[in-house]
Amino acid sequence: MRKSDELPAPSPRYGSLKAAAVCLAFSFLMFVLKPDDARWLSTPRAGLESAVVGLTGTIGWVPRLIVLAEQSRSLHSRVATDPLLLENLEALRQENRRLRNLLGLAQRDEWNAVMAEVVGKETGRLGTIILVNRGSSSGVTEGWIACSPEGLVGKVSRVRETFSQVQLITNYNSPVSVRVERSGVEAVVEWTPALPTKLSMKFVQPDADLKTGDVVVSSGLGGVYPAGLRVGRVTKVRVDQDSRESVIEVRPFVDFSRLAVVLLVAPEKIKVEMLESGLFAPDVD
Amino acid sequence: MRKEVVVEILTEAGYLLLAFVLQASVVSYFAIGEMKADLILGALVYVSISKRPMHSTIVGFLVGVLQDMGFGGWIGINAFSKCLLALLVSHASRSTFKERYWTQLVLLLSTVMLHDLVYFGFLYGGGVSQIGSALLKVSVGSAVLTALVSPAYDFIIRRVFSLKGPVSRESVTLPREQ
Repeated sequence: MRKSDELPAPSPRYGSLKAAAVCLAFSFLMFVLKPDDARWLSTPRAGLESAVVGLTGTIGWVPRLIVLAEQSRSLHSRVATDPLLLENLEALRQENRRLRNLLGLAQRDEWNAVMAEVVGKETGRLGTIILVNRGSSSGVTEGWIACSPEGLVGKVSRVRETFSQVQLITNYNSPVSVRVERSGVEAVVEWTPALPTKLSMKFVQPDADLKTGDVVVSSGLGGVYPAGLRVGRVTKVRVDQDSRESVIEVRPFVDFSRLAVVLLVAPEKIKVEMLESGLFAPDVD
Repeated sequence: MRKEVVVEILTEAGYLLLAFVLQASVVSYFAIGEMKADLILGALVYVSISKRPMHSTIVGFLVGVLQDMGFGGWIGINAFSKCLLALLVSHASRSTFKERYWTQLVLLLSTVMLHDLVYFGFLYGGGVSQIGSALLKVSVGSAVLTALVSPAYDFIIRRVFSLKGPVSRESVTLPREQ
């Protein structure tokens, strides 16, 4: 009798389990890799990202067109009133400039902005990263801010030549220093696992003047985002009976699932200088 | 390698790649709040129910790596969960009557829930209440949407490109009466 006849045939079940063990172990190792150890992945990642942008940018034009058409219809009704509003704003800007001169305060930077189309969205369950079709060739660098007419979207976290990656404010790594418009209360909003679909407001005193419906804007104190950008609306305020801490939920103004176009804004000069000086290391924005 | 095998591999890669591209470009525009269909997972389920466990495991792993690498998040999280799910679905589908639409729906629903359990488990480091909250707020709705959209995707793609179905009804044979 030949040897092969004596041995039982290898079970395909064990084969699949072995393959699964190898794949799962490899996945786990990749997961626990520190960013410094994963540098060797940057080249294949860049290639893959370019391919994704190319494909999604081409295929995604249909929904983008639908969203833009919807936005165009709603903006059309505002066209009649906007010129008046803009004139009013320009007058206020001039007045602000004169008053800052009189008080001896430094003038604020003019915005250096670029429009960009959203050409890809993260495919993970929470989807907190988007790709836009402007990169270093358009002057965009890491740290630029992304916003939309509704409010703050996020910040540019990675830049390639023709596209950039924007980390949304709903990303686990994107806290924003904020101010409540009505009462001036300052705090920080960030994504937490307990509120996967909203933002949580932190560092608020239990007796702070806050109520449901309050509008939250960026305070500009964190070192990245400029002041005054609309972030969201307070949807729930309560005090945790056990920890005596305030639990405040904020719903972002921007509907991130329907973003088609964003405005990329260069960070203010003063913030760049502050960061470069090394004297200011923001732990928030 | 035989020509048919190459064609089959390319067809499957195209089927999954199209799901990936649609997920990254189109699907999020049709999200309802935080709930959105997961076309990639849906397509992976259809591949897994028609292929052997080993084949499905490797495909799940590769799809997960593609997802992880494409968007700069945590590498490995999708690879781990998709690989595990593909293996489970492929094994489970061998002992179920997968030709039935309702069986496919149940498989899709349970796959999304299990996938998210693993995914959020990694993301939240095992915080039970946080995982439960995320499953309720995000996963249940996404599972329903996935179960509705994925069969449509599978049907349309197979019709348009004249592909063989994931489960061939002709191959089902009833045991001969004794």
